[in-house]
Amino acid sequence: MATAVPQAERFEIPDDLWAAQAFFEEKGWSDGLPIIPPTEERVAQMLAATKRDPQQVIGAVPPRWAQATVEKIAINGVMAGCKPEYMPVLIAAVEALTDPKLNLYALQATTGGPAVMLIINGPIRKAINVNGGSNALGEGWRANATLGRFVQLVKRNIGGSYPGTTCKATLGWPGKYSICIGENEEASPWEPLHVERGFKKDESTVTAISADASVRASDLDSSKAVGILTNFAHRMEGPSGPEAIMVICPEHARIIAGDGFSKKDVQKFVWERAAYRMKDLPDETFAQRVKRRSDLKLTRESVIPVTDKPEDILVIVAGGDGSQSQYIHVWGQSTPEGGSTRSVTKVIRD
Amino acid sequence: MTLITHAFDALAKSEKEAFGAPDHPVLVVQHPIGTVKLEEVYKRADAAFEKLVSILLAPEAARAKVA
Repeated sequence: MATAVPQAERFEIPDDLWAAQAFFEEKGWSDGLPIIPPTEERVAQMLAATKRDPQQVIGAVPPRWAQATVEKIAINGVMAGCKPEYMPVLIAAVEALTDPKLNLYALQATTGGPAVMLIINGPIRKAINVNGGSNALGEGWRANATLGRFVQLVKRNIGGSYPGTTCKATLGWPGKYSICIGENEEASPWEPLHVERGFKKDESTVTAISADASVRASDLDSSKAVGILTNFAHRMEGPSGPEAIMVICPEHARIIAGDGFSKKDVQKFVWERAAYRMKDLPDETFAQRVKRRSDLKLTRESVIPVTDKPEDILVIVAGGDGSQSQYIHVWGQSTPEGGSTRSVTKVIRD
Repeated sequence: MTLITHAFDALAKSEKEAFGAPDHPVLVVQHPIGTVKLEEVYKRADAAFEKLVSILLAPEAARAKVA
């Protein structure tokens, strides 16, 4: 249990909840939804759920590049509505957010307005009830809702990301409030994301990845992998990204794996078909593409695949009954150097 | 020095403060540049060029004032 004295500044706030919300809004600490007041008692409960020192710095959060201490993480966790038992997940999430590979500064500053999506793997999903089943990208589960919201509050309250000034999203999208999903490992015919990435199955991890709004890859007509994956690939056509996310529902996953497709086969099949076709572009757009990706020596007959390499497509299994998968585009440029952002996976420790 | 469009002015100010470099010179050109005609981009570049040169030729301590 952590024993160091918390150092955050103290404020007297009204007991009345509405007046307290007005105070948070005036301070700029709210994402627009009501905030749980981070009282000393609530923050202490969060800190008691980790062995870390409250003043340990986990990382620097852009654009202010302020230090995210364990204490500040606990405070924002309370504000988001997280339970104390989520604390190890929150710390790992901030480790991922502040990893230079993710390039959070670019995600905050771009007019593109992506969310940072969390994907939770391993036994922690059951321990804190992270939903990976029915409506996994929707409402109804406190862990999903508040872990995703925590990301947004860290960006705002520690990182100083404010829409219109230091957050330059032209529109943003609702996932910026919260987007967090558990992989439905039990319903997956393949090894889960964290095992693919070198972690043990009984370890728990959090993956942070840039995410634009999703596109439903519904397919009730196909009974074979080739059909499902061909239709899925059509949903992925258009400008490429450094990575892409296929959220495959269990019914589709069973059919695809039943036809002998491994995850690598899925990636390769879709990568060969999901493309940005230069022949379809207006002249001016084509000319700009040629300049942006001079390394590809593009002609009108060229296609740019959805990612630079098949393995840059993340394949996860999630969802409940139904033949409704989803594609999530990853904001960012695919570049000769490997892309402007890369997903980061961190192990969750006590 | 850093070249930005005016839409990113507040962000640049925040970054200067965050890195303890309030005097870092920033040259601001009109936003947007991504969706305007190429001739307009050249026009804005020409308009910014003299200032760019004057910033770069100024003594380091005076660059922010020139910008």
